[in-house]
Amino acid sequence: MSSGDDGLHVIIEFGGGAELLFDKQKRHVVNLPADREWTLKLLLFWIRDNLLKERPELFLQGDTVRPGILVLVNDADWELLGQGEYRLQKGDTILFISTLHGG
Amino acid sequence: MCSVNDDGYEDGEQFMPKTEIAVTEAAICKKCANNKGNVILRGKDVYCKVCFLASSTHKFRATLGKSKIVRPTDSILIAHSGKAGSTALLHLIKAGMHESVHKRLIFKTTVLHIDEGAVNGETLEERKSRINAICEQTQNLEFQGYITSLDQSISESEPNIHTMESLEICSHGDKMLTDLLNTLSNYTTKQELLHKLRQRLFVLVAKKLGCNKVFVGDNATDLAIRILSNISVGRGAHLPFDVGFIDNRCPDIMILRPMRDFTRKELVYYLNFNNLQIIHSPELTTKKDQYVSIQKLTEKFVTDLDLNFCGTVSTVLRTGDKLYTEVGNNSDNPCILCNMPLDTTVFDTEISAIQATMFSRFVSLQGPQRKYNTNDVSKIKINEQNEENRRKNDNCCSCNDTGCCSSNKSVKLSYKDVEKYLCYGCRLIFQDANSLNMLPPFMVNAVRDKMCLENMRQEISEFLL
Repeated sequence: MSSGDDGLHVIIEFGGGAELLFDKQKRHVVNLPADREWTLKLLLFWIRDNLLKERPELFLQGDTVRPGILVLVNDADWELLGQGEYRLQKGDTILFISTLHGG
Repeated sequence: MCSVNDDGYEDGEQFMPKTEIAVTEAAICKKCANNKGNVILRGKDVYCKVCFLASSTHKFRATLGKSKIVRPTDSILIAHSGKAGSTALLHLIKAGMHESVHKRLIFKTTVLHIDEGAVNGETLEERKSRINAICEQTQNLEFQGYITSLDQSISESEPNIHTMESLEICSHGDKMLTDLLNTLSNYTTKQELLHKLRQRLFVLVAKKLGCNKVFVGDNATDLAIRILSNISVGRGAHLPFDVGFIDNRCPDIMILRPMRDFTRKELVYYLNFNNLQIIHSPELTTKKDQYVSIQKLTEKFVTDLDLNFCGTVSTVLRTGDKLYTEVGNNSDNPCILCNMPLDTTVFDTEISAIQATMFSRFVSLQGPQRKYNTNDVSKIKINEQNEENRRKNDNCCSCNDTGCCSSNKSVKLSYKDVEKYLCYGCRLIFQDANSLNMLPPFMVNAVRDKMCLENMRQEISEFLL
């Protein structure tokens, strides 16, 4: 994780049991490297490589989140924003909530 | 041979086209046509925050209202697990109690939290902090609350409950509960048993606290999953009770499901827009493989399908609503675990599915070498009769002048006796159990009572006209 002002600051949150895969930590403030244009799809892979602690198959399925996990960007449904194609903005809050039984 | 399926297999996808999600830049709320949309439901309907919350409240009140079952004089026990369904339920009731006079909900409410930490492998610390969080939440919403632990459901005595103020954790029954679960060999039956024990505890606590109805937070997605998994685990006959709005298997205490019209997605957005936190606790199958139990696999099936075909949950739910059985005829003899009328009663002249299943089980257990003849089939029946005779003899031996039939402890039981008082689904839970010590004490005692009553009935039958 690079630190510096030139990166893209976003807040990533997990809920509904999804946090269990991330050391039970619900809120992550991250600074993404500024070398590319970040879409949600790229962010998912970045999360898998940098934040995820175990069992990637319980979070990702193919190149999207596992069915049953909802994604909210600034309190809005990601389905309204083009899902994986959405371009992240500075200061965005991305919330992942698992609706699956027991997380 | 069915050639239609064979030919159509390759390009079967053409019959089920995926619903394309329209990517709409800055979609506008469909209802007020004014605000920016926040949530998309059913894959096409865009709502803003305000309209979504208004429609949620309306939906909840409609579910309660159209049944006309909840009365102002009712005393209601609200089961609160800390999960999405019950958290939203508490919030909706709370909001309903502050409505204008003619819309106000005016029943008496009590909140109950069942501590299942022992089963789910939580440490005492984790349990404490979870219970603390639940109590805080309940008190913030100004409800009166109680706590009990799931092991109270298996003991014979009245359940111990504590007020939320006391913040007590009773862990002395933990071992009994975990031992009971460990005797079951797979997660499907474990989950089934936990569900039945939970339902039983709701009724026990409601009786103790003088409540006449219980609200549970089951949502539409949960129920759609339960419809399919119930059928898979041999509980099709219980469907109307297990997934309907009203569960009135116990005559004096009704279990109601006021959240049954909300999908999981709606609940998550409702909680998120109201800044409500769910208090997450792990489950038995948390982080387990998707194929670990029938329930978990069904959940995967429903959620996977619902992703591309948004009508899945509601279609399953509405279809399930229309199914019912005629099983409610002999309600004087309910299953000792789940309290449903027995679906296992077989009359001599009848050829039933349960006999076929028993036969199939019998044959499968014989191994591949055995040759069968028709005598084997009748053996099943004979075995049963022997069992019956043996039991009768046992009773006679223990019967003496002191009148043992009034002291029911002297009746000797075998697992076969217990099985007679279980419905098909509950039999499957305990199919690996072969000793009575493995069964919950309340079940064994219930069987004793019932057999005693039956014996008595037989004894006096000669004197009756």
